[in-house]
Amino acid sequence: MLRLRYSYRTVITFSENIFSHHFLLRCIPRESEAQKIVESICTILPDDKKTWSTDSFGNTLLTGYMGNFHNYFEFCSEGVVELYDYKIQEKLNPLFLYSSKLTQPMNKIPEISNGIKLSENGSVHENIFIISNAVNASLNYVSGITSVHTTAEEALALGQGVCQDFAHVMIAVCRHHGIAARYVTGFIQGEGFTHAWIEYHHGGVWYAFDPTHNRPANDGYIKLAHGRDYSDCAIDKGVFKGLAQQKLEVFLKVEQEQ
Amino acid sequence: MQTIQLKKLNTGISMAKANRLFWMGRYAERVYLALHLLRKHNDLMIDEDHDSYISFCNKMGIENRYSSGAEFIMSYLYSTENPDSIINMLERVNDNAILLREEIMSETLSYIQMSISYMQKAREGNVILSELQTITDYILAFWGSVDERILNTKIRRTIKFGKFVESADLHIRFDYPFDRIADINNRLFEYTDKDPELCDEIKLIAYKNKMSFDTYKEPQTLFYLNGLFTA
Amino acid sequence: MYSLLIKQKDTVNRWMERFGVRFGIYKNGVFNEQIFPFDPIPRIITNSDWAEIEAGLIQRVNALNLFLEDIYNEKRIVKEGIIPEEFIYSSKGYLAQCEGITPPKGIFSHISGIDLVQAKDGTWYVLEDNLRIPSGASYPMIARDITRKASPETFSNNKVYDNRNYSSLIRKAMDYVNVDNGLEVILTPGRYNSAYFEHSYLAEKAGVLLAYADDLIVENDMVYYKGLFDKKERVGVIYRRISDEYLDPLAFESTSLLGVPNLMRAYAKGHVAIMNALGNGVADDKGIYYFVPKMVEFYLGEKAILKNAPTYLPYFEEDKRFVLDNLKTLVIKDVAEAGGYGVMFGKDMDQNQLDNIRNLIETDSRRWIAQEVIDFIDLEIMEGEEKVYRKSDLRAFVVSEAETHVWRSGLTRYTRNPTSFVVNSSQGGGFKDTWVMKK
Repeated sequence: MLRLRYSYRTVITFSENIFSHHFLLRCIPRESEAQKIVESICTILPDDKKTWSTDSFGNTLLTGYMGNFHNYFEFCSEGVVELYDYKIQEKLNPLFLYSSKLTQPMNKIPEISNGIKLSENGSVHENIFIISNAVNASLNYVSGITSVHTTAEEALALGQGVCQDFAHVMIAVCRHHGIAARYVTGFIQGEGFTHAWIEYHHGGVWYAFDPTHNRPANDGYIKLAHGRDYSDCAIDKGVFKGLAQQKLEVFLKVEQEQ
Repeated sequence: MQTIQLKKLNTGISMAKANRLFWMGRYAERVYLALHLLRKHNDLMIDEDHDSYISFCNKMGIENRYSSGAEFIMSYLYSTENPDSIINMLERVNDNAILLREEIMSETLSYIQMSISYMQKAREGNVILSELQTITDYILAFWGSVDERILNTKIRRTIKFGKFVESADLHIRFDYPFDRIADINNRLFEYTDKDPELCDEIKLIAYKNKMSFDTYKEPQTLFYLNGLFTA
Repeated sequence: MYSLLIKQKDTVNRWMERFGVRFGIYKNGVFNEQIFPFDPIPRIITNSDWAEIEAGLIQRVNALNLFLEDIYNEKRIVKEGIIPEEFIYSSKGYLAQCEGITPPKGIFSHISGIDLVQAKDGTWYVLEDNLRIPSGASYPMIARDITRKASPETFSNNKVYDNRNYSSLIRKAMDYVNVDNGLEVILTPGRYNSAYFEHSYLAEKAGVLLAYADDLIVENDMVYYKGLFDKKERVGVIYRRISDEYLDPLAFESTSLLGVPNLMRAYAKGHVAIMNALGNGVADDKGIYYFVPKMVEFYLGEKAILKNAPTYLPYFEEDKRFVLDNLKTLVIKDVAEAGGYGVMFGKDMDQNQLDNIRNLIETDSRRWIAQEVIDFIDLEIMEGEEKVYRKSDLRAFVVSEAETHVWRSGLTRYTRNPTSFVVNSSQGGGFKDTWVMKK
């Protein structure tokens, strides 16, 4: 068991006053047998009016509305989690076998998938390594080159991307080979940025793998949300009125609790 | 005992809707008065004053982009390229009215629809001014329908507020005598005083203060008048 | 029967103009409001034909509603092997976000538009189900109002069911699902939507508010109508005329300006009814269409009264072979397209196109369906002073509240192009009134 304290704060500053601002956040860790929430609080500024709910994937949502003029928006999610072996027992929702908007195969996904020789006698876990190796061979980690709308196909064509793109390509290839896979957002111990990895389903259990680091996502991964792809688990979304430049600052700290 | 289940009354006025109601009223009145004033100036142009259209433009506060009285009339009535034209004013009435069908009812809207159709046909046939009496008739029927058929008081009053702001504005611009303006103001104040929600109180006081024989034609008067509506 | 009415054609058109009966259309990117061409010759449906259609439609729509409830919850129909899961999860209209949500009163499709054609032997076939935002009912409704004025004798001589009750059917459906007796609104994308006339006319006739996205806000998972001076009033039901993906920018397409942010949250908590429900696209998918008669049997234990047009699913090996062998005589439809697009007739294709479509069917079989071309009845229309025959279809409207009602009329659309088989108002056709006879 690993006990981690996390503190995640996002500050968006607007160059002009904005109003009629609606937001939707998935910034609260998800409870499961692999992850117990010991302590969790979230505050929102400038107006801490929020509503709790759960989306159809079971992720915790915080939503709210600020009607009046304001020029910054801040949310801070803090707490302590206990991490156990990253295995989640759950009956398979077949949804995760099928392609989704951002993982839709065109030419590149079938091409890379068909080029991968999966071991016939080996376990799914071995095959996951083979797939991740192939994904890493076709993508270079380059930050800032892709956006939240980039599809797996586009990232492959580019040959570059960030954790989101690694996860999308990996999920698309898994699904191509009949392995159910889903997208996960969260934090990793010792890293100052939010991260994305995948979960794959085998024998009634979800296991986690981190294609960006090309390793199983076992120790120090705090999970916030999962879905078919990024679009199901965006950490913060918002719409507002007013013309303004936005400046985004993220402060994330994940440390072992003494 | 029998209970009567009342149907839910779905009423509500958003800011956008209030604006549409007000401006529909203003533009409809503008069409009506522009036609009226145009007839008077056209009459002068027959023999008395061939350049009477120039003073029309000045008073109306529009650019004189015409080289003759005849050109003025045709362009001012029918040119879709002329931003000041009556056909464009009617389009503005329609732009607002078409978005208010459920409030003003198809019956009221139909007078605007008929005006537009008639005007478009008149334009194709270069019909002379006197034939546009039909538009005047439709607009009057429109006002009759607003008064008699729109039962929601707030809706009706917002339209009429627009109508009388426009009426006062044009009458002042065209140098109508003070007592005539005072009469129009009495109508206008029915909406600003009894239903003050949509009215800027400070501008209203300022406007009222301007209402003396010596000052009512000052440009400031029109400024206050045009700032009365706030939604 | 209707010769007197034909004589009043000009009067009818004048009234149409007066009421602004228009249909928006984009040509080369420019928006135009045109008069929707009206043909004075009605489509006449006999009382006995109608009895069967009505029973068939009620049965079909009831089954479709049960299907939607099942798909977003238990998925019995998939578990029991009636419909392959692929047809659900690969459907563009399936919304995972709606899993587990049962809308107020359990109704998903409040207003269903079922497209029918009649074959030359008199059989009626269902061509398509429209369970998202079927439009067009307002046109025959106002046409009837006008034709009754223009030619009263026509209607005293013929016993035709009045169809002007459509708006009260809609209102009853809204009243029935209204949450906490809130305001009832029609949510429109605005004037530049092709069916804007319908939105505003139905709002007027049903006595509900017409709202734009900006007029509605979601706060604490409740929907409010934003009146003047921040006066907020709770909204209980939204008859939305905006498609699913634009309805809530925070739940779906984040660039949409037409939608209401966080509406999905209010809906998921049961605080507002949305008609039609979100996610209905999974049931009117052209691929799912094939399975509708099976749904009727599965959920209702009855045989389907109304027939589907004979349809083949290349997804199934046997059907694929048949389709590839008979391409020239079939009509091929892309399941992802709507509005008359993505429809190809084998007989019109050259060798190149046939090879191309053959290839597409082999590589992506789930994307296509093939149907036999039904030789359907042509209807008379007036072209100038002359009567000519044109292809047409009938959209019947079914309204579900405590009970399921079929509106005793429908939108009959016809092509103006004599060689065209595609009847759709987005492709420049006209419409007729539909008379359902009392005897």
